[in-house]
Amino acid sequence: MESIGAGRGDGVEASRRDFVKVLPIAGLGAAAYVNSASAQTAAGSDASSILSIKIPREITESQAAPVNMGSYEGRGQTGAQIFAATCKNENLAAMFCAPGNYAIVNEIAEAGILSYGGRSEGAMAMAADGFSRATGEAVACSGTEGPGFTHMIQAIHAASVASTPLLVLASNVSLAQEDTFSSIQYLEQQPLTTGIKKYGKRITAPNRIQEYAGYAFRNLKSGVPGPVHLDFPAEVALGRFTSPSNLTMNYDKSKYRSETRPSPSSKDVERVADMILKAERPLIIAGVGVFQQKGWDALLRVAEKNEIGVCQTGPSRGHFADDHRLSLSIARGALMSADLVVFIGQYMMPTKLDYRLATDIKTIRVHPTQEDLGRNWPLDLGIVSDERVFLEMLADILPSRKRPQWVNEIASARKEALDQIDGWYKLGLQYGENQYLHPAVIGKEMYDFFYNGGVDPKQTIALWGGLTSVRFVPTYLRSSRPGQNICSYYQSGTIGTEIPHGIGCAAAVKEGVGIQGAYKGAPVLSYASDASMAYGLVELETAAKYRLPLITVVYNNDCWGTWTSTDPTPRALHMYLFQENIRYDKMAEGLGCAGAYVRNPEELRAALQVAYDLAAREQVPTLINCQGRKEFTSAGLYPPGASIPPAPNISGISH
Amino acid sequence: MKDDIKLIHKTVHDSLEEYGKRGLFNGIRGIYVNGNPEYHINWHYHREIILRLIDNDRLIVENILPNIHHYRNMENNFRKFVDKFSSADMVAHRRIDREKLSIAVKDNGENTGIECRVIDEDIRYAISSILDVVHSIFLEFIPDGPYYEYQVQELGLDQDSIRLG
Repeated sequence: MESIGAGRGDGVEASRRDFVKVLPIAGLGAAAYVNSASAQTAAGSDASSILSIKIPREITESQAAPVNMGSYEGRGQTGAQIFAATCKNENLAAMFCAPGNYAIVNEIAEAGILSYGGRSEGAMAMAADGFSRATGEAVACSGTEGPGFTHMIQAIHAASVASTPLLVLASNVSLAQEDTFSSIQYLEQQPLTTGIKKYGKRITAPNRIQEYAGYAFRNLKSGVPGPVHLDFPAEVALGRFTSPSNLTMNYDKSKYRSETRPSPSSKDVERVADMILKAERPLIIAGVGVFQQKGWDALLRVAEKNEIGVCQTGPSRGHFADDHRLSLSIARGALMSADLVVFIGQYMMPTKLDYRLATDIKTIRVHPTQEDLGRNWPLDLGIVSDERVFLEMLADILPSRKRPQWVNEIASARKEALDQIDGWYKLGLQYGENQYLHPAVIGKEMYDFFYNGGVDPKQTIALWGGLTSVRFVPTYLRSSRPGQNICSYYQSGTIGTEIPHGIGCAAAVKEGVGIQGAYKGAPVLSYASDASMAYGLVELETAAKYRLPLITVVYNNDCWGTWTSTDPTPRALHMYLFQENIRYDKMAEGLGCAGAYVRNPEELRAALQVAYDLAAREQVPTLINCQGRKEFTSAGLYPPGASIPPAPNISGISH
Repeated sequence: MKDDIKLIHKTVHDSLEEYGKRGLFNGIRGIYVNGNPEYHINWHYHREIILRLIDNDRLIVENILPNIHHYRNMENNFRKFVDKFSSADMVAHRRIDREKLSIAVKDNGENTGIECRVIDEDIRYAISSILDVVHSIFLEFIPDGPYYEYQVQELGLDQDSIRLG
């Protein structure tokens, strides 16, 4: 390990430096660690002229300032204050933004809603998505009009396919200036979110702001969630109101939306129970709806009562433990044996060619809205229901049954899969020759540290991207409680989400929001590709600024993983390659985080320990730069090479 | 055409149509070639796979995987994968009953496929078995093996849909 240090000069720097100095690492002397401040001095600069990175006191003071809600008294309150009050009343969990849309974001922060300001609208929108994937809660992102808004598009798409209840907010000039180009940044926003939002509106009547806030939360909190996009002309955000009667449809949330959830008829549930009883090897595919509707306890009851196999899918995982004896998340070899599949909360339906399931499998789908039933996959039975309601009803009427052969088959398949990944780990050790880290080796080291060592295996949220690593890493990042595992690339394939998603997850854990409350303050692990660094690395400054306990492990293989596609077109190869041995760890240090550059398992192990302690004790984020080789991707050179196994399974990314 | 042959052809047709209705294929069309039914099935990777019934007791899918000889150990691995379906290593409910059906690799050098011989006249069982094997080739053998480049170069995997970052 060449270095682990931090480039920040706030109050914690001295203790961190001392901590690093005394850390015992086998085979590495303390001299192997170079604090970045020392490194700068050694480079010949006058140390006294170099200012350390530090977190200004104003940040913590600002966060501790009193909550201030608007009032109809005196000059009255602005549209932004009214909107912020509704967000507060709806328990909007957090808001992530890059400044812009000033009136709205300032009042949301002022209302006491968790608020974070970062370096780019896109990454902060992804952070909001990550926060929701970890908690299931509705969350907001915001950007300024024109460029700020368009920068969020990639994140909105990712949130859309993940069914994230994401409230997208953007300013958009004034109605008086619309179409005139008399100022900068005007853009007709709503058409650009067509196809990636659940609901959207440019609010044009200032006195209807409360009415449209109701539209927003009605859509965020009902049916299948998805992004809601509101854009605010200045007249709406800055309009003033001295009485509630100035506003149209100014109702309380108990009046403008309902908490009622769709429930199935008892006859339908009995039909499901009957089909399950007739099946020999039933399987439940439990998607994101089970997580968002908090149906995990009922799911466990159903599965255990009748010994039904379960494979969890979706952007957020942990609603059925990967290591449970009935889990097929790892035991992919048993999937083809299932003779009945019950999709519950599977919002992104595959086709029969996408899923590793038998040709003649019978199919039931439970979904909260009728219009999607039958999409992509012909059904034997479709049921409209909320996921938790359905599972609780099924758990109540389903008879107990033992299925020892099915359970044994699942166990055998799991063992086979784990033996295979262990074989790849051993191959990876050989391939790396103690000079390069193969992704299977990185995966095993992360598993041993976070899930098989001194850390509570239920504690750490892991999120992962990097398609080069999909075959090797996700199997090691086990989830055993809801919201513990985040598939960053889920369906959208958005490279660059790992660090921003990690920021959102780390914010949720740091504040102990919702289901993350039991692990408040725990470090969060983000596994990222080097390709993704171009999109998200700078946002580590936001992680450092808010002292988020985020550990980012980067697989640095010096390239886009698709470089092997240039075999028949050698003149194209250069387009896929980066400079070799890029120091993402140094970039992280320059942003106020700690960094480590590692090339073998021993160094990685040591770096994980340092990073964990920094995150847990001092809330300092770390980036661990794992040097790999592009050739590890190639099946011809280093079999088995990269591959993306078909879902459903622990490494499923598409559905 | 004799009634029993008509019945076999109808059974093949109805079985495949039923699988089509259950969403297994992207499309299917049947024609007769020299009196033998031949089904062109648009299936995995949106490739057309041809299933032939020969002499009413042989089912052949010749063009499952192209050019496997160009890839290290792929042919051997493929043979092992297909053989497993009628071996004791396969769980009983997926195992092909050797008293009902024999299955073997059929290789013409350019394309590799499988051939089944119906032993006990249960053509419906034969169709079900051969479809299970072909489906498994694309959902187990290919993605679980060292064949990412193969998928790109021979099966037309769209890397813009599945990128490695």
